[in-house]
Amino acid sequence: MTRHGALWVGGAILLAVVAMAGLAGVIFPEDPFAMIDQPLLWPGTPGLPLGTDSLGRDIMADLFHGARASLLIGLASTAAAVGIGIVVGALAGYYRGLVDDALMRLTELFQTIPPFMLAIVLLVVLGTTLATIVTAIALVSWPAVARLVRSEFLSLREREFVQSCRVIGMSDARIILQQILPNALAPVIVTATVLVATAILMEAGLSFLGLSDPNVMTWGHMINMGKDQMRQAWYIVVIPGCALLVTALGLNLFGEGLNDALNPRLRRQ
Amino acid sequence: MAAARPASVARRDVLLGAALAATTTGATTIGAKAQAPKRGGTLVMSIIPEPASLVCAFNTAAPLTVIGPKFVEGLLSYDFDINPKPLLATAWNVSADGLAISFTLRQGVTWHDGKPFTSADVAYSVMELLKKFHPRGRSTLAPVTAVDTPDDHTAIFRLSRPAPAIMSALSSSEAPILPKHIYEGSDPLTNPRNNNPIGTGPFRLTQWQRGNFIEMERNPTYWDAGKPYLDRLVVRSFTDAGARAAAFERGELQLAGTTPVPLSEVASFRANPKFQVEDRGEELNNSLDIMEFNLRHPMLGKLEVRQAIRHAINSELMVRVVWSGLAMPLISPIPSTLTKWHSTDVPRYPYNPAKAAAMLDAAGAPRGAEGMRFKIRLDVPSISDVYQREAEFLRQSLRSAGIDVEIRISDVPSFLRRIYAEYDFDLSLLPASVTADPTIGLQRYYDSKAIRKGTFLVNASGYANPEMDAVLDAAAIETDAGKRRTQWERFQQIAMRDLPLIPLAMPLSISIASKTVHNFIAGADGLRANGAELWVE
Repeated sequence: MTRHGALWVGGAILLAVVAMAGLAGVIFPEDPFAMIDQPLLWPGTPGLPLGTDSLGRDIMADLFHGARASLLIGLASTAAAVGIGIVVGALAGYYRGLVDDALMRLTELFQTIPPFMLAIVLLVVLGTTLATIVTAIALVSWPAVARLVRSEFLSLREREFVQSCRVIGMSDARIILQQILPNALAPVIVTATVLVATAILMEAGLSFLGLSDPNVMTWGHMINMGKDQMRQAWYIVVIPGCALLVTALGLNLFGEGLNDALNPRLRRQ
Repeated sequence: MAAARPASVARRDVLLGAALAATTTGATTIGAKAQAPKRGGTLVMSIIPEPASLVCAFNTAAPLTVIGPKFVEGLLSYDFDINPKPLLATAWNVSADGLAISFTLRQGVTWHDGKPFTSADVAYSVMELLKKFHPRGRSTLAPVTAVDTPDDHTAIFRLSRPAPAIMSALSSSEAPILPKHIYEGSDPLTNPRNNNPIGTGPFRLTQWQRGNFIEMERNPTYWDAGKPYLDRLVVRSFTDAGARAAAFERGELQLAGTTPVPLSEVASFRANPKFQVEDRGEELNNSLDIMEFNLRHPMLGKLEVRQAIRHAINSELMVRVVWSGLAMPLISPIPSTLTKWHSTDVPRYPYNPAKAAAMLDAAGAPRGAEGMRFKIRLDVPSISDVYQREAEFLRQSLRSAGIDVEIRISDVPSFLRRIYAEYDFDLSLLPASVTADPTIGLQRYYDSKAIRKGTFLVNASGYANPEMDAVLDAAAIETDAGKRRTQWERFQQIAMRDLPLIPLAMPLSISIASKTVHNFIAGADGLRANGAELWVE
């Protein structure tokens, strides 16, 4: 696939998911948890293109509302992770020395604990609401961003344009925010798209273990609720599973396409 | 696809019906008596999960109550109607005033270390161990003031007041008798023998590989000559239901209880001639799922609101979608398994959303924005996915009636603290064990004297009705069986009229055995029996 192909296909998938999320409330204004018909109706039942789950809920409606929650969780936790990562990475990379040591040890502390395990522990302690799930995923995702930003800063801070800024007496804050950060953002944006995919998958994994907000319909929650019926009604699990797969694929393609577009020198010929 | 719908439902119902018919006629276990038991062999069973120790006197964790009785025995065992049968006691007599229960103890019984079993062991176990350290024994045995031992084979319980519930709480799993010579002078909770028990039971521990298996061999000096039939009993803990189902199918596992396989697969086990599926054997336990109201809530404090909520719940549909049909809908807090006391003459609340809506309107809770009347929280302990499904079902039922519900799922310690120490809840969903006697299991949820902030699993609703208290207190000390039945009938009427809690359903606790296993459920003790009768082809 050409790099533009990846960008376009990924972008199209993302657009479709965003449209699902945006239209969920319009097409399916009812409560996604509403038990509207008999349980375990197969896809293709008149009026229910994707059938019903074990509690008699419309899987199509759940899928649309799930897109909304999954995207929200993915974007919010990535935004928070990127925010933390940039602050930590920028300070460490720009100031080096003691600040760097302290912040990097902290980052390593987070990196040595498997992220999924840490997220489970955090949710068990904090309880499972939408906000705590976003917090937990953000808290386990930021170290990668921090490392990336730090390495960019370490190399950029030695460039002539930065040194010239220093010579004319520009403050550290202005150098960091106006000079170095804009130049360091390209790889961060690429990483962020992958992080969104990771966050969505992690939410699904946590939901599968029962660590989801029971008041919010997500794809992971749909899989969790359907796993007992795997032998009789596999579609309950497979449908949201495919949605997850396609969304994650779309995000990865989009990220890869973006990477090629933003880093022309790294193009693989 | 649509056409296949009624057919598949019908097929499942037929299978279920056939399986239920097979179990209710007792074909699975009682029919096996026709065959002469075979000596020898090894049986592999599973418990969920592995227990922390092997003596069930200080801890009532479910797996421990299954494995403990293989080593240590109680005075009595029970038939399916909870009538006592001899075990370590061969005869018993309750005095006319109900203040003395005398037991004639079995002769010729020795502990695993060869010392004789005597009445001194019974007195020590009851007064020093069970009364002081057993979680339920503290209250069940509270009326016992002394155990007299006129000779080595007679033990007389002296009571401060009549306590009929004691006679249904002396099973091996609920009140095991432990050797005085091992426990005297030690801290019973940390006695090393808790992990390598000395008992009178049919099995002795040979090996315990933690996290893997517990292996027992037959006790050659067991008092019931010729038993146990098995040479070895191996207990393995499998982590999840799917793994247990696979182990059954591979033949690596022959016996397990507490619904060991996924609910959705029980029907296929019932239909499979390689297996036996038994619904009985839980009559001493009777764990119900209940939804308790916090009556301090301005809306939930109104009787009509609680009754309307009961009308809004379709119990039959709930049993079908939440438990795949493997639960009994309840019309009162005493389930029909307790045949002596279950009553059908109680206020009923058939599913009727229109009536529920009308009652809520009349109670001063009209529909407001988005059709909702008011919003409440439903607290759920994080025990299994089933509770989550149950909670979601309840939320949708209440939403249909215009009551918005937010579900809060928390780990068990947080749940207990929130409900019982802080009263920070509106509705709570929890399992409640009725046990073999409502005085032990149910009084604590209805008695106003059981409103004790900080004590877990008691009356958290704040329900206080002097009429209810009087019935409960009378039934707790009534020695006449007929009068006691009348009192429990009255209790069920008041409980279902006032509805401080809704008994939702009793999930079936199903035992599965491979076809070659015999006598695995022989009475109300179920898998909690001592296992002396078990044999394999």
